Amino acid sequence: MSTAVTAPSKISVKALKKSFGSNEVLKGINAEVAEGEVVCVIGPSGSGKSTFLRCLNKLEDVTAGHVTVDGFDVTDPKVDINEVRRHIGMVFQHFNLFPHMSVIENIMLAPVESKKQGTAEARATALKLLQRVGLAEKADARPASLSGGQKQRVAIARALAMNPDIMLFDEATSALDPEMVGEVLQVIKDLAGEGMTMVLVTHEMGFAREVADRVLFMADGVICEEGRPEEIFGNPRQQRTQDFLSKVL
Amino acid sequence: MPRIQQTGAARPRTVAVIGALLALAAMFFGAAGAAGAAAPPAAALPAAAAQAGAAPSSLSGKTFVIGTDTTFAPFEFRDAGGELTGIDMDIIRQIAKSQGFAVEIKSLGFNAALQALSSNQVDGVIAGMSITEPRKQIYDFSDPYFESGVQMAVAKSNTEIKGYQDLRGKTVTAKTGSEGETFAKSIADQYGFAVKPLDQSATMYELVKSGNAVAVFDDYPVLAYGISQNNGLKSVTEKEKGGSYGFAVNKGRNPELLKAFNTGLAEMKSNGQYQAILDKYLKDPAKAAQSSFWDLLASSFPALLKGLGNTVLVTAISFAVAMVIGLSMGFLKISTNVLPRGIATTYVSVFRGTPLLVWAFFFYFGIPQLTGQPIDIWVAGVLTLSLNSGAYITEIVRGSIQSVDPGQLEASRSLGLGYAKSMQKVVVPQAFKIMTPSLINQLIIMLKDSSLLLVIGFAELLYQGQQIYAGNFRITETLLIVAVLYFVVIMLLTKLANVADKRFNK
Ligand SMILES: Nc1ncnc2c1ncn2[C@@H]1O[C@H](COP(=O)(O)OP(=O)(O)O)[C@@H](O)[C@H]1O
Ligand SMILES: [Mg+2]
Repeated sequence: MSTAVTAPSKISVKALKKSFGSNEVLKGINAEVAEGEVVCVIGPSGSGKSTFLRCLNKLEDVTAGHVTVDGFDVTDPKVDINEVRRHIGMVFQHFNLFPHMSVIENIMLAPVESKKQGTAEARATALKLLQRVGLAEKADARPASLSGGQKQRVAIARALAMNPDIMLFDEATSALDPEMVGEVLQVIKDLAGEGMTMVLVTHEMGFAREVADRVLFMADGVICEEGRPEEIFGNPRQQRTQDFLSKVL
Repeated sequence: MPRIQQTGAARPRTVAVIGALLALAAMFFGAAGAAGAAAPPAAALPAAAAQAGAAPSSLSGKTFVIGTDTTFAPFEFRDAGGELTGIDMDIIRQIAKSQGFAVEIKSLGFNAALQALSSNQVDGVIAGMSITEPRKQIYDFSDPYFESGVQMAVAKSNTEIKGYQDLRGKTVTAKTGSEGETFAKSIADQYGFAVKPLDQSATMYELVKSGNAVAVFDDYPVLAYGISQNNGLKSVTEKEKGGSYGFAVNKGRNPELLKAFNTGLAEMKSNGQYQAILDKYLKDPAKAAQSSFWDLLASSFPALLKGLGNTVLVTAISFAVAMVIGLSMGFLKISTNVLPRGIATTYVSVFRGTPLLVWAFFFYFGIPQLTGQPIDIWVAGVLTLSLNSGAYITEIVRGSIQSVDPGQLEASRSLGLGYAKSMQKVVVPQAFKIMTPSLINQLIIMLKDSSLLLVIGFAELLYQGQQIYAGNFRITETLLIVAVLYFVVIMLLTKLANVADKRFNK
């Protein structure tokens, strides 16, 4: 996977700034993510990790700078953002499954409504995805009847249903009971193994170390340090990175 | 009765109210028309000239719409079966028959009937109305068909009060704006009593029976009829000399109708039919013995059920319209754009900030005077209820949509669904679930509020109840039946709505 550095760039972020009112949350971010690369973003709470991730699929409008994803200029006001988003899957900390739909309806919604697939085809795809995350028998269950780990696996299957090129994970395991973290990380690891381009905001340092090609350490709205996991975790150069790691490790 | 005094005092008051309403309207519809519409309504529509020269014979086959009061027994009231009856009704129907025209009676209420006459919603009014100078300025009157006068009555068991001189320090009642009130007030100082005016004969009699007033001053025929119906009162004085009642048409309009009325009346007087009608209501009262509660229930039930049907229907239609308004306005309200949000906010504050009754009057009486076009009472009723309720539903919709976890919209958007699709498939279904209990609540409030439409003469349940007790003076029992009917329907509705909620909002 380290060969990915030479692959063409899937995500390109240049001088990205984001403010909420007068509060500047992102203060000039530059980052490249190559095809098939797995990038983990770590950093203290409130440093802007989620905001950074949400700028990639325009859940937040950027204040300044450029974001290019999968060949689309996300910051161009004329871009068809719905089309861009169909190339980017996103998984949220709190799953955000649709409670009024069954598991399989959750997964089928986007393919059917975007007319990408007919109902029968979408159902077949959805069942395959559920098998992949080990939840085929829950197809007709309501989200409320699932455990946290199962919900997050359904959410991943839902994001995969549009067959995205890129997956974004925002603290996908933070809301889970410890015994369920493993099952979700395993699904993510499998995706990485299949060569999916991914950006993960995570607090699971062990997992980041194991799965990441590159780690970004964010603090106060900037990328403070970045490098291969063994560099960041084994030999951090910045004082702030050291302080942060000494607290969480 | 709001009969003599009315023209002097109440009419300008009504005009002022309508003027105020129109000013309110002008705020919404632009300033145009407000000044013009506040002018005397009698000046409307010059069409009368075309009919002016017509001979009475040309009336045959024609139908005239006649406005009348709702609760002025024995002149007009509903019999136990809900049919309009009374001296006025018998006279106008008899004259129509003998003069060869047809009448469509609209039981609107006294003030409403006069409003309707001014705005040419009706062709004539017969409503036990005294012929007075101020009224003659606005309407053309027939020859008098009844000589009235004020009389005093006390509770049957009262042996203390035998004349005006026994009223010192006591309270009496009389109908607001009526000849009775004028007379009572004119002697109040001399005999040292206070006057508490009320709106309806039936409620005045209850006040006297309950002891909250010792005596009532009312028109002799009304009182005589009530006493003959066992209303629990007795008269203790002779009637004072009073006014004459006449049939009215709008000034300059329908002269042939007026002529036919006079001809018909003269015929009736000479052939004895007229006296027979008076005797029927004043001398030979239908029945002296009070029927049982169950008889009352059985006889009033058909009329009440008809009212209930109207209540349910107008509520159902209005609620459907209110839902459309509320959903649209609710969405405007959460828009990020100032203009749609401003429209929705203005709408909500206007209709939440003004009483339902004002709009009922405005739509039914104000709009026709603005446009010159009569408005159907169902349209006015539905507009009133739905615009009022729509304001509340707007807020319910807005609140419910905003209380759906924003993560739901984000998840849907992140999947590449557009805003509208995401709202439709993800947010609104969840918002519906949240809003259902509030909507059921709103529906029940509307069902009860629909009773307010009785002020414009809409024949809903409570209105039908009033019609019945205005004829038989059994207020408490009639209202009890009405209340039970509302209660039962609302119980059923609540059950039904909850079942539907469980079914569709799993
Ligand atoms: N929608 C928003 N409106 C205003 N401030 C926000 C919003 N979202 C995030 N912020 C602020 O931006 C900063 C960074 O937030 P976030 O990106 O969520 O940090 P992290 O994910 O690293 O914990 C925080 O101070 C947060 O309060
Ligand atoms: Mg975060």
